[in-house]
Amino acid sequence: MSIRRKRDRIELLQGTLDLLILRTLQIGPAHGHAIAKAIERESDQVLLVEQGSLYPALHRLIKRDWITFKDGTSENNRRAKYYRLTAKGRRQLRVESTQWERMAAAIARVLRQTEQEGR
Amino acid sequence: MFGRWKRRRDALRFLEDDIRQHIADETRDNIDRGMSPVEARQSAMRRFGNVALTQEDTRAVWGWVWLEQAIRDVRFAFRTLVKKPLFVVVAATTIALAIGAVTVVFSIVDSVLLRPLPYRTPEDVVLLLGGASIEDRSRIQVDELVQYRNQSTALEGLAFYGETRLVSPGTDAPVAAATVDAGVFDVLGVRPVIGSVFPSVEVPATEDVSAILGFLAGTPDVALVSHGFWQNRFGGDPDIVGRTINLNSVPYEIVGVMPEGFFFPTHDVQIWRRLLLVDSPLGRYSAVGRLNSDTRLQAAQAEIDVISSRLATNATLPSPDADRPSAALYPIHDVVFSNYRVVLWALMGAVGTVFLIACANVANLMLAQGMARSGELALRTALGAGRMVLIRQLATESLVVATLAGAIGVGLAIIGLPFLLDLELVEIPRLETASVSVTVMSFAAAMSVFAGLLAGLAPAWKASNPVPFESLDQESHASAPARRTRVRDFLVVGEIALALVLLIGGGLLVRSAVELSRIDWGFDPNGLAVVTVRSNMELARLQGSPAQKVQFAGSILERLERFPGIQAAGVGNMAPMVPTGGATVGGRIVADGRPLTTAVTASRTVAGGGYFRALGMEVRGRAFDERDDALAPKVVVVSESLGRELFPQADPIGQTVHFATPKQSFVNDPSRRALNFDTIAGGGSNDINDFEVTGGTAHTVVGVAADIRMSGDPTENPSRPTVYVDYRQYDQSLTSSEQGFLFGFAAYGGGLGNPDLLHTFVVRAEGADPHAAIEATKQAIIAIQPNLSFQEAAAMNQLISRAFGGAGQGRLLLVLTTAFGLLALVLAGAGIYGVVAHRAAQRTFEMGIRLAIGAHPLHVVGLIVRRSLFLTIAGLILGLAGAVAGSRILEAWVFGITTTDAFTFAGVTILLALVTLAASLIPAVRAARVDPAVTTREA
Repeated sequence: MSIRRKRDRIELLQGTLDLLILRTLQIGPAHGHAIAKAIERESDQVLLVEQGSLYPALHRLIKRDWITFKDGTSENNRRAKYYRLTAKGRRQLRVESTQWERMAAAIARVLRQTEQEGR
Repeated sequence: MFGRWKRRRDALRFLEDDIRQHIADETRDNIDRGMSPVEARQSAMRRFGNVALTQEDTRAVWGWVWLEQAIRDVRFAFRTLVKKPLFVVVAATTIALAIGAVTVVFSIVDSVLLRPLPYRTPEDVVLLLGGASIEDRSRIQVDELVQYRNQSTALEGLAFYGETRLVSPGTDAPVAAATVDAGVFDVLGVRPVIGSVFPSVEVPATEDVSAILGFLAGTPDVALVSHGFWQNRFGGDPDIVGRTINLNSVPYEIVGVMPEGFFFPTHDVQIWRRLLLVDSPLGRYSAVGRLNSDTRLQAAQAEIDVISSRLATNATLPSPDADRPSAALYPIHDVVFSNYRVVLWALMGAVGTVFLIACANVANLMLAQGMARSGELALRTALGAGRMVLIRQLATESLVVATLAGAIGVGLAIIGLPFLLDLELVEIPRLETASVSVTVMSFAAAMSVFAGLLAGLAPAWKASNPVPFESLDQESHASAPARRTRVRDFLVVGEIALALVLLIGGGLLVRSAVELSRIDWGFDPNGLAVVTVRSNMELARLQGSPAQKVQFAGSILERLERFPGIQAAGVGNMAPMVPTGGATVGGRIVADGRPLTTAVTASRTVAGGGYFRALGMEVRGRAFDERDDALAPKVVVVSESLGRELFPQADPIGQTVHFATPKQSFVNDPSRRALNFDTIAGGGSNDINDFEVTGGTAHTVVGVAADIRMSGDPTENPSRPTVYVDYRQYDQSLTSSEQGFLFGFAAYGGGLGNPDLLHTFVVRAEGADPHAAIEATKQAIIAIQPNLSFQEAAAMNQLISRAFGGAGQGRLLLVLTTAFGLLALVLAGAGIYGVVAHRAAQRTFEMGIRLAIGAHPLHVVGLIVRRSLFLTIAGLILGLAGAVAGSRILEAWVFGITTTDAFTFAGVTILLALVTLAASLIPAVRAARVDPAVTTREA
């Protein structure tokens, strides 16, 4: 990837990756690489997943019982884990999405006020 | 906890594969976008980042949280505990004592019962024994054993053996030995460490006795010795093979030394000599076999049953036994430990009870702590701490205490175990190998954790459940009623009940020991020495004729009486506590002029010299003296019980009695005199009509001797009728030994064989210590006949304690159960003290008000004590019920009382009641002494 492209991308806030993984898995089970790709695709390549950090995040979610996994084989016949949302994860996704939206709205309002005062 | 562990394992498995797959996918995508394969892979690696770091981070997700949480909990627990050192000391000491006790007992159980026996795959080794059960085991006839061996397919090899005791010069007592077929060592899968197993020898199957005898004469006698015997008797001589050892006056060549720790069939066997199997109906042995790897015990037993029923129908000769003993297979472990299993598990039960009491006590303490901390906990709950968090923290506290206590407890066990073993309370196989091993330590660690959970979980659960506002509020309402303490009450009741059960067990054993020490033996065991000459053929030859017997024994007695330290010396064909190998001689005694049907069966003791004086027996009338020689009128001394039976109304002294003798017609009738084991016990006949009395059988009773106990068997009737005959008149009064009869069956090899020989010398020393007398007696005998060896040379008190071998286990039980019982008593006392004191402290304000408005201090005491009395009574009732049900397992070790001995039950109950009363009075009195002015103001 080029330097120019990298500058356009946003590094993820801590904890955000978890939310994005949950959101991605809401569509259906997927394996690691597919999740990373999906996040990048859905965000129109704006959100850059540092692919290595995906794995600790996945395990964190497994541990919290929000997602679960199954050993399967990928298209080219290699072993790969398929991750799937659990009922608990689905609930968590709802909670976190709402919180995120509220926070995003709040931040947006603060930013708007700052903008207006700055004028 | 484990669910998470499993998830972690599954999730982390193949992590590397997952990552490799991820990079491969990315590479493929890059190639699709038109990169060259090399470039595509490098780009994918860059996108992914540091693979090793990712792996580490991923693992850390699983690792650090719970670990850090645990560390945080432990640190928090330490901080809390440091602030209450008294609680820690009391709780840790309590658990440490319990863990120490549990560890000591478990180390014994582990080394004795749980470690595998020293054989190849010991679980497949089985013994083929006759008799109805392990306890009633007997041997099996050789011809039958051979059939079992030939016909059984379930057993891979069956080898014969017999247990015996052999006398070897230089030992005071016979050595336990086994006569074994060489196949035994193949079956067990054990080889000697030095030398080799003796070769098996087939005795030719022929009717020609002289051929067999000739073969036996040409076959060398060989033996293997145990590692211990090799060390002790041969100083570990590396050239042991080829040396000879005299066993029962026969030289045996030593062919090898068995490995250390090896034993068979019992742990005390030192010598294994070669069995030469001669097919004789009198030969009886046991057998050891190995189950085929695919055979179960039941299947093998079924096969044995089939063979034995076939043997029973094919038998041409009627079995000499009226009831043919069935042959049964037992795992060797069950046989070796049949006498010890119950003792050890009973001990485990006792110590487990102490453990539970200790845990209950600490739980109680923690509950009290929890109540004291309810304010703190409520505050933390209000601030958002979840219930699980609080439980975890409180449980961690108790686990920290328990871990500390466990370490101390194991230390106590390491120090205490050797002391216990040094007491040599009981002989149990492998007991000397008991140690605090890794297994034992793991067990102790597990028990510590268990104690921590047991003591900590319930209190943590309860304490973590305060209603926040109520608890916070309560601080300001000192006069509010004390919070309900149902859990604590329940624990105290349980503690008292368990303590009572243990104490009653200990009490029963203590009382049994007292009863045992109070036994009226009928003779005085203190200062009494017993020396028994082995009645081998040498002695039989020496004592061939009556005159020779008297001369032999008389000359020894003469020497002994000149010895300065000896008060009295006597000789007999038996003496108390000296095993007779099951054979005692008796006779039918009838009063002169009374019908034969009134004859009393009495055992007959031939006594010489100062027999009665040496034993310290009281004799009314007179004992034998120099008048009663071979030519004098025949006299007897009867035991009190015999005198009573023969002459219920009159004084036996001066009366005439007869030894009923078989009629000549019976003696001369060969068809009725067939060798019959059932009736030999009746002098050849059970029919009194076969007997007669004549002028020649008359004896005058000159003395009545005290009844004495002949054996250590506590169930033995101490007043077994006995008639004493002077050794000089012996053969005239009873024309042949056939006339006497045998009680029971003379055991082969183990006992004294011929019960008519004068082989037992009883010597009374001047002081209490008979050891000089023992030596003098041995010297006197050797001076007369240097070739004789000794069956026994010991103080009577030694023989008594050995005779109470079963009581030896009782002693171990006694010491430990009593110790555990007292520990339980202290713990239960402390438990009830804790509960009452805490309750009293909670009610200080209330009591202050009561006193202020005029309540009598005694009333306040009553208020506090009343509840503890209620708890005590509930505990005692429960405990009594438990003790009635549980004390039955002590049946075998209780002597002279029943297992529901009212005296013990009442005494122990009162003791426990007093202790709990005292424990609750202390805080009650303290509560009654409060100064109302101070307490009410303080609140």
